[in-house]
Amino acid sequence: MASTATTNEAVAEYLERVEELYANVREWMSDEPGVEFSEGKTRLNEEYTGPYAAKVLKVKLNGGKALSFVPKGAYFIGARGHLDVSGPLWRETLVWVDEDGPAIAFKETAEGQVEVLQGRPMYPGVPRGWAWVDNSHRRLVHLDRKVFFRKLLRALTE
Amino acid sequence: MSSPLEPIWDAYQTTLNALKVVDRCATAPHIDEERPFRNTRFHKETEERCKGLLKSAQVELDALTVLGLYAAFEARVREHLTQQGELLRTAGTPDREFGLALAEHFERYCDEEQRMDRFVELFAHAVGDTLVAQVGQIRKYRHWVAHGRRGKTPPATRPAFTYDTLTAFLKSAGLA
Repeated sequence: MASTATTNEAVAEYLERVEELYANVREWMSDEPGVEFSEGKTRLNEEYTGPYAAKVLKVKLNGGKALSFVPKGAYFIGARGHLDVSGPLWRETLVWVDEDGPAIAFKETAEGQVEVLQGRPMYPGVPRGWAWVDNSHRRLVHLDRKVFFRKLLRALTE
Repeated sequence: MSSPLEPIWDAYQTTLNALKVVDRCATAPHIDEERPFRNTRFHKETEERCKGLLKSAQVELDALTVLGLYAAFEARVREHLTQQGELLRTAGTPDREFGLALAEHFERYCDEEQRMDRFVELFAHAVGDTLVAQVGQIRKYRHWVAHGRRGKTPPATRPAFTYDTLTAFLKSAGLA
């Protein structure tokens, strides 16, 4: 299965997904005491897109430790965008995937668009949306409130 | 059939865990790091410096693991193609020596041909176009890393995705 989109559309969609993620993180952490949020920018320069800016979210945790959500690009082999989260101890990767995490590859067309090739499910059972790349078990884990606190935050801070 | 990628993945996991242990030693207040850090570059370093070293190491480890996984994948594909050269030895026209020479020529070609994508495309019917394209992009990312990460970033990958993609290819092709 293949679909085509301009790189501008792909970047706009990616930045929108990043915003959705940040909104979720802010909501999930709203009950935590002493948490402070701030925003910054990072410059990306991908082969298909050229330079663009993306928002970085910094979360200062109670006790002075901090998390940084840093967008890494709209084009990732096997996903529709990725982002790194750095914590006091570690760095983890989040990816945005369609349902079942299908194989995804890209091909530039003569018209300057990027064709998205979609293949077999690589991570059956994973819902559409942001997922945490669990390196220890080599799987994708859909990012919801529970996974954020019980898995991702622990991986970053413990 | 065992996967040639497994030892690289195991080493990646072990190294990642080792970095985490060092991280904990450097940052947990109740751990005396004096003995475990002696005769290493972490000895007498500040917590901040240790964390900086470890974060840089994690980024490099990820990149080197992608390179290692792709190299092992490439070796397996070339090995399989070279083995197919045996089939050419039976070519008997104009004579038996021709078949032997043809097989040797093919084996040399499999060793020396730089364009790995040409080999990978041979498996398209068995593995599908998407996996072929994904492997081509992992190859491109590997080259970008190996040549100093210069210029625009090609579609990226991480070790877990690289392992899963290359394994899916090898399994579909009957090579793992």
